[in-house]
Amino acid sequence: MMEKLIFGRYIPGHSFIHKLDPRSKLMGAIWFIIIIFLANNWLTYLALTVFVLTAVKLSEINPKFFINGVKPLIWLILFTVILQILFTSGQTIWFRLGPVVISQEGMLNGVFIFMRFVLIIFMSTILTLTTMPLSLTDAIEFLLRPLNAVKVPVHEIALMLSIALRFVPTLMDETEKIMNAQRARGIDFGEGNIYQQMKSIVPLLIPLFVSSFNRAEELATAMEARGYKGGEGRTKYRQLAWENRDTIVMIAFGLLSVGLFLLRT
Amino acid sequence: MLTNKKMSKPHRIALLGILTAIILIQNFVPFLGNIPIPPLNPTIIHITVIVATLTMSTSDGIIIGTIWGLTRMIRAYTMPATPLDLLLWTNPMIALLPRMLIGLFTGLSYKLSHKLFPKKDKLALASASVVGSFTNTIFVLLFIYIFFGEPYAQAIDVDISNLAGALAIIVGTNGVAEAVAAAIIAPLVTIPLRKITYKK
Repeated sequence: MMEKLIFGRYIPGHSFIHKLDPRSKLMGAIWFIIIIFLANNWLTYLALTVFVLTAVKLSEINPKFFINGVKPLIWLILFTVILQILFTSGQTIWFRLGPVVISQEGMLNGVFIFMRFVLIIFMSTILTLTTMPLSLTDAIEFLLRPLNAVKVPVHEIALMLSIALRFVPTLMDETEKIMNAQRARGIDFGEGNIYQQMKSIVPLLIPLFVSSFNRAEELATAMEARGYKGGEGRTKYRQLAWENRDTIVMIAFGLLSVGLFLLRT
Repeated sequence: MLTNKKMSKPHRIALLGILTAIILIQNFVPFLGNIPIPPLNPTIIHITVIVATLTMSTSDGIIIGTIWGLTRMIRAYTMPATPLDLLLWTNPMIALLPRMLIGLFTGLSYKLSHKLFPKKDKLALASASVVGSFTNTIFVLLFIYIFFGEPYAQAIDVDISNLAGALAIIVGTNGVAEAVAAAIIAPLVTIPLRKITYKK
């Protein structure tokens, strides 16, 4: 069950990308997903591909991880691409069979959509493979800080996320234990018709929620006992430090965006 | 919303954090988040949102719903599993807003039925769960219809004129299965949880 989870797949390392500040990585990844929609011809996609491959190289992570990340999705992406090819109308028609029309525009559109998904998946894989989830939470807290002005409890949100990430493995273990305990009592999980399956969910969810709520209460007691009183004046164990390499990465993203603006048609 | 006792701030943060963990697990471990019975694939994640609303408060339900929507979007972008992931759940309006509204409508309908039938708490819980579940289904389909009319019709391979019918079929299958699951499971989970949360 655990191996199906995507986070916690952080791979420790000392590469350029690993050493970057989580803030610059997170901003970069989000910015990348936004600017990828600017790309609309071969040159722009080429620029983006070169950019992503450079990042993969800099992360010093075995390219196998990236290929393995895309492999299970390839049929799905191809299916979407084929839909795009078949249903995009264009002027230059290559092939026509009844209602099925393959045009040059449809073909290009399909290839570009394929590229877009693969690039987005590569970029998010770089982010999750080189950044610890907790550092990401710190980065989110920092980036959301301007929202403090409009009374968004940024500190509480970040703490919530940290608690969530901390308890995901614990609750997974808990779930397995409960499932085994209920199996011993004769419950079949994932079998039978829809009614039977829903029935088997009940003896799993109730103990899971009850133990989670108990755990939350214990955690709250521990927080109160240690004098937790909100984000005001709270210091941090993990300090974020913005360094020159982060500025360089931001400049690289800036140049990429300008390049896309100039190259797009 | 449910009792006059107010939860302390650390308690609320801890509970929301652990509920977020449950949402994350349900999203990324297939069996815990969906009941896959081809061709149906009803989710059970909405039950977590409804339980959060009924045991904590409407605003907490909205927060947990938002987390579900965000996680759904991240999942669609980073590890899509069906064509619908790529077409639908990458759109913030479709992925996010209906899930946020689950908490709101569940909370409102619980308050309303409590006012109408003050003695029948279990009925109120079950009806609020059904309302919450249908909120999700109906709003998702509404936004699909508004934003994605044409690509959606192609994805599920129907003619555009049959779109309304196809949408109705999805409401009638996944949506009903989800609502039935919510009506049965959510009260069963909520009642023992209340005893824990407000036992002092």
